[in-house]
Amino acid sequence: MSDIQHYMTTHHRDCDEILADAESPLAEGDWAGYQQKWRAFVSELLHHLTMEEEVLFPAFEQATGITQGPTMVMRSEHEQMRAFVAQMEQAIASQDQERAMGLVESLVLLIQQHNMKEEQMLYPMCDMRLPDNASTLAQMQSVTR
Amino acid sequence: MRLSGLQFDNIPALNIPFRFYLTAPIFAILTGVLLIFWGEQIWLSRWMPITLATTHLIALGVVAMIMFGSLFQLLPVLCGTPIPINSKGAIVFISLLSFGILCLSAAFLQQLSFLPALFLLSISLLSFGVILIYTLWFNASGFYTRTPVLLAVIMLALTIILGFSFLLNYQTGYFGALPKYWTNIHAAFGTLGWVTLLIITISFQVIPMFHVTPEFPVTIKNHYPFGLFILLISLAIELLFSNSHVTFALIATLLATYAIAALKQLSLRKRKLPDTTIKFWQLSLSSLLVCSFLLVVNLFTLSSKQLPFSLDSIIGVIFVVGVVLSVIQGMLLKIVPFLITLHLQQHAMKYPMGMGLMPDHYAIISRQHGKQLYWIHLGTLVIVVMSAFIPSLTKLVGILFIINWGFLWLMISRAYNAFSRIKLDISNA
Repeated sequence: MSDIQHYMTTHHRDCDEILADAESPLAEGDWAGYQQKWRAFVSELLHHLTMEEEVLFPAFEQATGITQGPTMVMRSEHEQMRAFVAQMEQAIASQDQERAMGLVESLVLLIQQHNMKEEQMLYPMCDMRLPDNASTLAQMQSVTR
Repeated sequence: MRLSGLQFDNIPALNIPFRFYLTAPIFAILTGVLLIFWGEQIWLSRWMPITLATTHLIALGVVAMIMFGSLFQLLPVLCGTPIPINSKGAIVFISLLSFGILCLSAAFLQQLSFLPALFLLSISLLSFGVILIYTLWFNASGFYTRTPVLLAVIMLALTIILGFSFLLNYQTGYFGALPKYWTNIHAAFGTLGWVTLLIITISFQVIPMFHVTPEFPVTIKNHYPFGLFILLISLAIELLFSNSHVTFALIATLLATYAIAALKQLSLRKRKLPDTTIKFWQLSLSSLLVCSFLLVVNLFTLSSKQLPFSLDSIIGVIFVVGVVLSVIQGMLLKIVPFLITLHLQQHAMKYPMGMGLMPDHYAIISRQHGKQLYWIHLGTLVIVVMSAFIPSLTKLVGILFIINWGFLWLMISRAYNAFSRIKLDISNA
């Protein structure tokens, strides 16, 4: 597995683990525990989206000249994820367990199908088409949280 | 990598998969009605008119209908390319296919000639098959999915071609009574080739994706779909010339090891929220293990007729109801709310003020309804197996089929109505 694909796929899996970990307190109705773990997940998720939107996607668009293709769809799905995150804040505030469970389910499915497209197509294309993968990767790693 | 095939935003209009999903339960309900009135006869022989009619209502009307609808949705995600059929094309296809299936069942029940079925099914299925193969061959990408899906579709094409040959022969009597091995090949390609190969291939993607499990071992992902395809072709050749016990045993072993591997993946899932789809998968995979075991048992009892019941029929019903209908219903519980959420999210992007109206996954199909569906289905499976020994129970199977699929139809229909209502609310927000 090449540089960008390896780094970003590993980060996807890390985010999956953190979210899965947050499901335990939610299933048990432990709101304090859930809130803490959910926030940890959101921090990691938003960091991932920023790395892509500020470094990887512009690099891809510059290298390929394609601005209305895959990256546009990926950005739109990022917005959808942010919308779910905002709705979860309301569910946490009202301690609505069914709503929170439904939102986690919706978010997991959205993220997973999004990740699949990135891992199977976009990241391999980036590794293949970007002129300097190592530099792009270093820039992504230097994005502050 | 085929860059030309990379189309990220080509998911079909929501009404396309939903038309398939809303049509399929009607065929299951029709099967239930037939089982109530003539069901007991299905245990007499696989050649009974009622057996042939119900088998094809389920295989084409329920299983293929839902799998076709899902392929419209899955191909853009798994293979980066849409099926080039729009909403109007899908309506024509579903109509031709549905009338074709009805005519075929009526013909099996000796109420109609086979010609109308042959005409309608050949137009619908052959054209869909050609479009699918063309799309997968020329436009698709996706290392782990493109070729296995293509192999499954080739198996479907071979099943259909064999089926059409039988219909032509029924109609013309040109070849007289066909030897049993031809229909065995037709059944093996349809069940183990098209259906099982597609389920296995899709499971490699959706089990890790929906349930956050580790990836399947690469050996299984790389070799099992090809292995199954090659074994089925070998089986067909062997059936023509000699006995095929070794190949059958190898197929059973492959299916059993796949089932064990998939059950292990599910047991390693990281997610902690209760999920009825997991139960449906576990039921399906456990049924596949049982079928594999019985397939091997069947090899040793075929000639001696040691059993007071038809093991063939028991394997058949466990495969159809236990393996296939379980996984299909479990996947629908997951896919229906997911698709609705996905389409509403995209709509809400245009009307950000309506973002707060977005339903969550369980607001579309509640967890409670999912659980109820599972228990009704499990009850149906238990009673259908018992009815092999107590044929009078087959009426109850028919009733349970109607309840099971009527309930599912209602859930999908309500979900679609909720989608239309919320979409309008978002526009007006």
